[in-house]
Amino acid sequence: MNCKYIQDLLIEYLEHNLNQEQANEVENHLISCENCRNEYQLAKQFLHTINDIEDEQPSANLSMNFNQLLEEEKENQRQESIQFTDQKENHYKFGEFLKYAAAILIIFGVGFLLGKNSPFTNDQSMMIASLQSDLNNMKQNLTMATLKQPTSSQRLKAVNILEKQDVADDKVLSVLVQTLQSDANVNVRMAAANALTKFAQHPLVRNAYLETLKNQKEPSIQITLINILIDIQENRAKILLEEIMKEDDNLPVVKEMAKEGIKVFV
Amino acid sequence: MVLVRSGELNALSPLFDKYHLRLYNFFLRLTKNQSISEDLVQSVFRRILTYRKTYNEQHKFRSWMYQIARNVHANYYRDNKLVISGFSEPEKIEYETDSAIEEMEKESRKRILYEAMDGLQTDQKEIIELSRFQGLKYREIAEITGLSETAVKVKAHRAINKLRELYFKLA
Repeated sequence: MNCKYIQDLLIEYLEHNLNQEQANEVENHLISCENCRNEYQLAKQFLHTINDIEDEQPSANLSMNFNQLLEEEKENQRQESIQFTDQKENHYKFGEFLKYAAAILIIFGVGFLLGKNSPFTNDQSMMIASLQSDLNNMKQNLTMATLKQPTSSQRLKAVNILEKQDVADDKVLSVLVQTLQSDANVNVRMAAANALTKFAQHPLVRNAYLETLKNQKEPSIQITLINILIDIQENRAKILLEEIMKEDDNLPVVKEMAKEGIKVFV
Repeated sequence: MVLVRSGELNALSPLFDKYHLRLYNFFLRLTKNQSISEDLVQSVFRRILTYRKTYNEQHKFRSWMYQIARNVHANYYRDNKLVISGFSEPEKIEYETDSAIEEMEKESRKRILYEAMDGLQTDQKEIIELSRFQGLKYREIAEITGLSETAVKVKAHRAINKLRELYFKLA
């Protein structure tokens, strides 16, 4: 009988984890082998030592730190829940857009692979071109969705992205116009006004400028709009400018600008 | 834990009460340093809070917690390979009775055992820790480590025999 094999089983034997056959093997061997009997005693002592290990107590800091951690997390949770109710709707829409964008990306990717593996036919390049334009569309939609985000810096960024586009369809323009007229933040409205100058030849944009000038009471926006209207030679602005001059609410500097503007149109 | 996941954070307190001592000793035996062990326990509970939404009630909380504890220790081990930490014994109350000698013997056996454990590979140390000191079943260790139950059994068998060998070399 192999002593090494028996010694290997001693711990399992001591803990009653052997099957009957193996246990008998060990017992029979121990009767006949003194060396392994010693080993058996040592293993017993060793197990005793291991099982005797007692847990040490940590310092009081541990519980204290844990309680602090828990309090911090509760505070976070409270803040999150406030934001959550605020953003729920917007996030939902944004997520929808992302989903569509991902789907189109996949289609585009497949199209690209197909195109790569076979010689280009007119058909395929047309398909790819149309997918490309779909993709651009999607990007645009995403950006427009960003305009509905709750923080002004995000919206500002979105306006800047839209501004970089060379061609703008009515949809983009109307979103920018809407931003110009109704965004809660002055800087975002201002950015929208500047972004629209690129498309100032578009009647929609011209009308929007006039409309906004009529309603805006924020001096910096008024000044920006007057400057733009002078630049683009929009004669219809004249009547509005005269009204601004008459109105008492307006700041002197705005009235001054309006006066200068009228001269240009005459 | 299901309560914690649904946002009832106070429900974590009883879990902390129940497990922090075991976790602390888990880390203490692996790192040999009290304050690091306290930090690591804290990290475990921080992660539990952070990842509470990913908790899956099909698994025992205990298994999940040990999975996190293993990761925390692995990260710590990776970042601090070069740091050799001195093991400072906490203050012990001296017994003025006959049991003082017995107590000393017990202490010295413990010290030898810990020294012997240093001779094991990290994964062996871990399996001894989980199976012996934390008292987990092989099935549970298998769940925690991602090994099969048989593999855990074999590993535990080898580790304990290796430890026994090392222990008697030192004793």
